[in-house]
Amino acid sequence: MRSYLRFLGGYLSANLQAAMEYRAGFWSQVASMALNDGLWLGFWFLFFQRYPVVQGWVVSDIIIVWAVPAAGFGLATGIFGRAQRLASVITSGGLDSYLTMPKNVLLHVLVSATSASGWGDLIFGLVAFTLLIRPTPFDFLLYLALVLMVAIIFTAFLVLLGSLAFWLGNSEGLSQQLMGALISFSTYPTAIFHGAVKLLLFTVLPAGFISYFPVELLRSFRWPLLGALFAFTVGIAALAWAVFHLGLRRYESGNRLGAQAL
Amino acid sequence: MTQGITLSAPVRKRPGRWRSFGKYWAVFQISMASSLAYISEIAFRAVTLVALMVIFVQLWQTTYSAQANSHLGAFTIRDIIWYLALVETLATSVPALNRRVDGEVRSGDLAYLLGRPCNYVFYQYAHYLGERVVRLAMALLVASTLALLFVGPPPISFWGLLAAPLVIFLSISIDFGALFAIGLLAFWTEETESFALIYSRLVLVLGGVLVPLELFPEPLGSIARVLPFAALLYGPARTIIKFDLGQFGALLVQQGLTLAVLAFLVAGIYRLVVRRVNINGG
Amino acid sequence: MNVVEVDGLGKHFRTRQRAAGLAGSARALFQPSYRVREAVRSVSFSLERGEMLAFIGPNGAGKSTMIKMLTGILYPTMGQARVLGLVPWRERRALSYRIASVFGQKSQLWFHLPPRDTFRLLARIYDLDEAVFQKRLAFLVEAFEIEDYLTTPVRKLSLGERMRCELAAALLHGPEVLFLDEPTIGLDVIAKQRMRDLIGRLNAEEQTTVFLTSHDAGDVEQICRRAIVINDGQIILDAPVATLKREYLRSKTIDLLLEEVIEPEVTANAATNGAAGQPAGLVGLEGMEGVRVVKIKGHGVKLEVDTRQQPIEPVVSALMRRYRVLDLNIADPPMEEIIAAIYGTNGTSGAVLGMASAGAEPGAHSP
Repeated sequence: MRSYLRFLGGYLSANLQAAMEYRAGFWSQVASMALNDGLWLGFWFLFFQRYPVVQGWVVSDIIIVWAVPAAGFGLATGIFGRAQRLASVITSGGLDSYLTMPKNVLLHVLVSATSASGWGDLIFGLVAFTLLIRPTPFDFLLYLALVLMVAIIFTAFLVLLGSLAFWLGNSEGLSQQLMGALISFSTYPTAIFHGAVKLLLFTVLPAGFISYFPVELLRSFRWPLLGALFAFTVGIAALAWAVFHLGLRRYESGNRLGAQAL
Repeated sequence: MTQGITLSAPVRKRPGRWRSFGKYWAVFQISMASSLAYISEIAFRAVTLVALMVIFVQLWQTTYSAQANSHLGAFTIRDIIWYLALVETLATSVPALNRRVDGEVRSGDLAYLLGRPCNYVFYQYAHYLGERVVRLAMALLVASTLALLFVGPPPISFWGLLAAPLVIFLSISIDFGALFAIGLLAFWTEETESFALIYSRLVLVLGGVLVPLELFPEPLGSIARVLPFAALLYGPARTIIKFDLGQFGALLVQQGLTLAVLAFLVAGIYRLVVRRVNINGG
Repeated sequence: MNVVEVDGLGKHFRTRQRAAGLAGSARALFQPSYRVREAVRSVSFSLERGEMLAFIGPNGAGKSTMIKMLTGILYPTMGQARVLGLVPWRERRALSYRIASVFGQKSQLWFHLPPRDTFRLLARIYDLDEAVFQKRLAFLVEAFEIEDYLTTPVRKLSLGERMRCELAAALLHGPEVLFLDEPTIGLDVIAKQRMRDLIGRLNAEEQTTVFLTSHDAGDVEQICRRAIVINDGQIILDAPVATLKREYLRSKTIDLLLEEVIEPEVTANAATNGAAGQPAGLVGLEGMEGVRVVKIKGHGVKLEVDTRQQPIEPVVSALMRRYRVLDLNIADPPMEEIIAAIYGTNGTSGAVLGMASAGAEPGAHSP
């Protein structure tokens, strides 16, 4: 376990160092993403003030519905920066070098890059939450826990989408779209969705877990709710793990489309 | 004095100004064909469009039912949904022009491309139009099908329909100017993706992709309406949905001015780029 | 104990046939047809500790598939194999601590960072103890002479410098078996030599077993003692490199440096006679079958002797009787000819080889 933490730490440090080689580019990506999030939040803030759409929604709810997914997504792509490129790594045979190394292949692939804009999302989320909500210490700890769980959910979702490449070839275009859809759905109050859509958001496109639960928990904390979120997080992570390794087995048989160059 | 016989060596006829545009038409066609070839990639983009449409339909339905009124400003829910369909069509059909130009600058391909008997700017424009048209068609198909399902047929008048091609064409040309200029910045900056992102966000937020500008809370709404971003999304969509001659005229002026300023900017940057390439070799 | 044991190893790939056209695609959906391709068929061999093996063959012969199976990336469809006593595709993680692979085209070093940072990261990946890592690093840096490049970003290094760092990176965790795929590709002559020396030294000092695939005959000749030639998924030859050259070698090249300059008309004769195989151009060699003048220029003469027809000794004596010989060199022909000869006799004729050799002769025999 300790060796894996040192391994993760080593990669994080190497990733950031490599990013710092192009310092200006890195920081401009961070800044532009933070600005981008700020723009959206600012806009929605004004919109909800003008049009009280959802009963009982207050300012802090809007901020939370941004601050949690943004920070979670940022943490996920900051640390597991290769998650969004998983499909193309698989189809280009990039897994081979990780297979010959002594660490778990999935973790190794995920951690081998960092996304600069992700750090912008993370910073934005943290700043927005601390400055605009002015949380109590308990709230802040809860926030961090939520961000961690949301990050795992995002990562698991990306791994699931990327793993499709084991069977379908390069699915990166599709996974980008679905990821975008997930993020979009996560930043609106779940209450506006009804029926089939709402069902969708608590199953295959887990936006509900990313926005509804955090808002409810930060509004009025209840242990069962946290438990449910935790259970879902563990569940989707386990599913992603299983699916990836199933696909890896197939990869090792060499039978996938467009495999083997001799 | 004898009449001198003038013999002139046969000179290759340089094509007339209009003839030379034929090659850009060819680029346009090839670009369209190429986009159609990987239509599945473009079809995937429909996913985002569907997601956004679903979200906004639900959002606005909830908003409207929270109010007693069937009208918000001058818009009924039907107007709003079709407005959204149009702005989303425009917003999601933008090709990654800045990335392509950025790549050509960084890889040094630009130097070679400048040497071809083809104006680089027009070439990129034709290429871009080919991609954009295909994406627009696809997005329009998806968005209007959804809108039809949700609220029924569009409240478009004859004049709106007539004005549509013009205002859309101007809008996508403005997009070209901006993205092309951003791509050229690759000469001076380490990456251009962040600029493209900011541009895109400004267009979306201040261009009214979520809410028609006139429904914006003041004074933001009035400010946004005079900014050039409004010429990209809000302007065309509104003109098509709720055609108003005065507004149409004002939009044309806005689009025209924005285009003129951009053209000037692009020309300036381009000239700098060419000079730099000529000195440094790319 | 054998470091590598391969017994009847085979791999075939089953790929779905993609049908053309709409009707074909629809049919393929319900009744998929498969195409089976045998990449490796029942290969058996073993390696002892410290052996240096060259694994050669034309493109598509199954070399990459073989390496992938031995490193645990691919699992076979038949047969067994053990590397260091472990089954690669089943105990891959455990094996990975004890082997290393260097693929000429792929880089392990981070492009924008200095090699030192990659080394440090690798220490974490392989769970190296800090003291052990530092000592090992110092040794490798000194042996590979890369001290000057440790802090330079990899993107600024030349290919030769980079490959030395890549090799050092691969050896950081002290692997017992080294898999090399085209390690000298793209390098200039001097850099190639350095790489080969390093690998040789490694083998001598640490008993590292080396498994090399390369299209470069120089790599094979200089690094390896033993060669396995694979074609169409099967081993067609498994022999010491020296045997390879002796058995499949039917000629030797004699390079002479003479005191006198050979007359021009003789040169002209030699040029026209070369194809006929008659040594008419050189006095003293009349009547000798199987001797061909390859080149005459100034003081230098190059002859090719078909050792099946003509033993070397009489040729050399005749030359030394007739001329004042300042220098004499008898050499084997380049590796590519040998390989071509093997393919010609055992494999498919006319196979594309893509072999590069240090000294390809003009007018040399073609397969």
